[in-house]
Amino acid sequence: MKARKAKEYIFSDLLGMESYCKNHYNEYYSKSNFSCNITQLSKGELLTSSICAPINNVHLEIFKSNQTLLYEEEANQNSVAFCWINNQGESLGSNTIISGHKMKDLSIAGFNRINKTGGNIWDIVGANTLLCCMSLKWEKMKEKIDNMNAYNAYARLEECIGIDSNSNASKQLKMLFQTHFTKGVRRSDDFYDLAIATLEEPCEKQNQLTERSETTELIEDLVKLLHEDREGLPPLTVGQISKYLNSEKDSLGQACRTNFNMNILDLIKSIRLEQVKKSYLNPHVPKGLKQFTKQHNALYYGFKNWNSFQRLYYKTYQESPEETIEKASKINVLISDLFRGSRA
Amino acid sequence: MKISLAYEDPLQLSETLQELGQVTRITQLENGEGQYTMAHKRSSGIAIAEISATKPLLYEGWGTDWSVDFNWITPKHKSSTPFGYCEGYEMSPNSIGGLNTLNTMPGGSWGKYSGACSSTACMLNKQILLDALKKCHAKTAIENLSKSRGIDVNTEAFSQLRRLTRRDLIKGISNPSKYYDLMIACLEEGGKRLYKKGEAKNQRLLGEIVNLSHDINKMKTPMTLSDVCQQLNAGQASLYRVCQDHFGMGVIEMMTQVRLEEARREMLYQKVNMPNTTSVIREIAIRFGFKHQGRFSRRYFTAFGELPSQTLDD
Repeated sequence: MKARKAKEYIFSDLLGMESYCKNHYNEYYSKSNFSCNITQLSKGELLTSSICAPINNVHLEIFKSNQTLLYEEEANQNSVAFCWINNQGESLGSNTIISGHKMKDLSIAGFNRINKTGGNIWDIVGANTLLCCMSLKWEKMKEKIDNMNAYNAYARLEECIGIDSNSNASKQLKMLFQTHFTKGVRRSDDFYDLAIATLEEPCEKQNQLTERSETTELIEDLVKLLHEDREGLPPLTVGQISKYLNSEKDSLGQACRTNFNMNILDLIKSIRLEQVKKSYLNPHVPKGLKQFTKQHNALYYGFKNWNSFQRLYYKTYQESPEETIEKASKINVLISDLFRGSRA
Repeated sequence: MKISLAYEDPLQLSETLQELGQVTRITQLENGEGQYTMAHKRSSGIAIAEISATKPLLYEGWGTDWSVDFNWITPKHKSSTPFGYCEGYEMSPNSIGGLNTLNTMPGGSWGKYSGACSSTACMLNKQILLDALKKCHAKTAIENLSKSRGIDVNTEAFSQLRRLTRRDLIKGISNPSKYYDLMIACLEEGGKRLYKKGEAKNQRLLGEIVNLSHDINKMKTPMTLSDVCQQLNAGQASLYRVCQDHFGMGVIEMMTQVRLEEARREMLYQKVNMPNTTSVIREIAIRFGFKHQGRFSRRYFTAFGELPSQTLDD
């Protein structure tokens, strides 16, 4: 086993980042059918980076963005995630939330990525927050749990989303992660052992952990619903959403404000705006066709008024739809471009 | 002559078992489509059945008011994990389980069998068996039957009983009294296995977990781990250890699986005269503790490979 040298990937759009996540996950789990959705929630030009340093059976990554992002993916049955924030000694506070667990300095969360009966996960990664992510293979972890009789850890993984832990094991785990990114760690077993030890530690106070519950499932379902690209994509009203989720409008609105700091309609707007942007970035559609259909794309995602859409788009991404299409096309150099260049 | 019938669904197995007087709820403890076969015959004072499945199945509600339901397994291939448990008694190829059905209430027994073996049930009339035991002064047999959940038998009588059952499942039961004679010999010659540390406690806890999972009154409310710990007065680590060891999954996962299976059963019963698919699905989801229909549908799909609406449409 050899620690690979850490590689840094930088993205200025989220379609590229989604493809990167998909490729990495598929490399880690060859049989997976992974996909994810990422949405920019704050306004401004985007710059995101991921430093990735996997070793055998452990995927390790440090993630940072200058904008607040909403991340959504399907839960699965073969990987367990452990995520924590690193404020690098500064007590800045963070608006990072992992599936309902508000992240503090001592928090470790993301356990609901493993869900054997189906589900999805969502994270809000606060702007300029360093998010450390570690993925462990469930098969290997379960084998270790069985050998150690660490059934409290098993229960915690299955019932919790995140914990706040001040235990020695969690401190050592974070240190080992750090050491890996500076020196390279070769043994994957240490990550597994420390993760299990962290989960085994009792949580004395109820507010130190977020359990999987109806409330957390409601938000998971809401996030999933808002990302669904159904045929024709009809506009969603709050009434339809609350009917679909079998929840009261008020409690849904309250839950949305608590977790996303915005109301449901604004959240839908952010997600759909990002979906339009991704359609403009699609590398498989020619630039001319994208220019031709840009208004239709916006309309498909529910933006009926082109002028107000353009204003919102510019305000959010600091560029116009035309500039996005233009930027995306620069990746491909056309033969006719070369011809024009030689004539000039 | 066809020996056994092929089934598409564990629910169909339940329906056939009902014909033998067993009101058993069967849950498949592993996702994905399985293959199931069952052969059965009955005669006066006796019924026999053999079930084979490619996926692990949990049977709850086993036992009738008239019979003692003996159980044994036949390995189909080697397995690194136990073949099954009858009321928590680990079933090896020479085990006879189900002795406890002499004392339990009808439907009070359970079993779990892996896909690596078939399970055979031999239901003998309680009264006839007890009379016969007393008549031949089979003291050890009476003690085994009244005090044990299972015994291990390494004698010719058990081999003969197996051969007889196999033959009769094809040809029909010609002489029921042979079963009583052979079973009495097995009970007399069989021995109790030495308990492993904590085994008796685990067996009790397993029974309680199975009962709680299938309690129809409790299914309406979503069950959290702390609820289960409180209801069973057990620690979360013990619950997970016992569930993992015996059912291959965590306790909440197992309960969810049972509820999904029950919801599916209900949907298949209701599909004949359903007025409105959406309201039927929502109503069933809520009845089995799934507050959100979307989440229910996704879980259902993960377990059965089809959406609830597809089950209703089929």
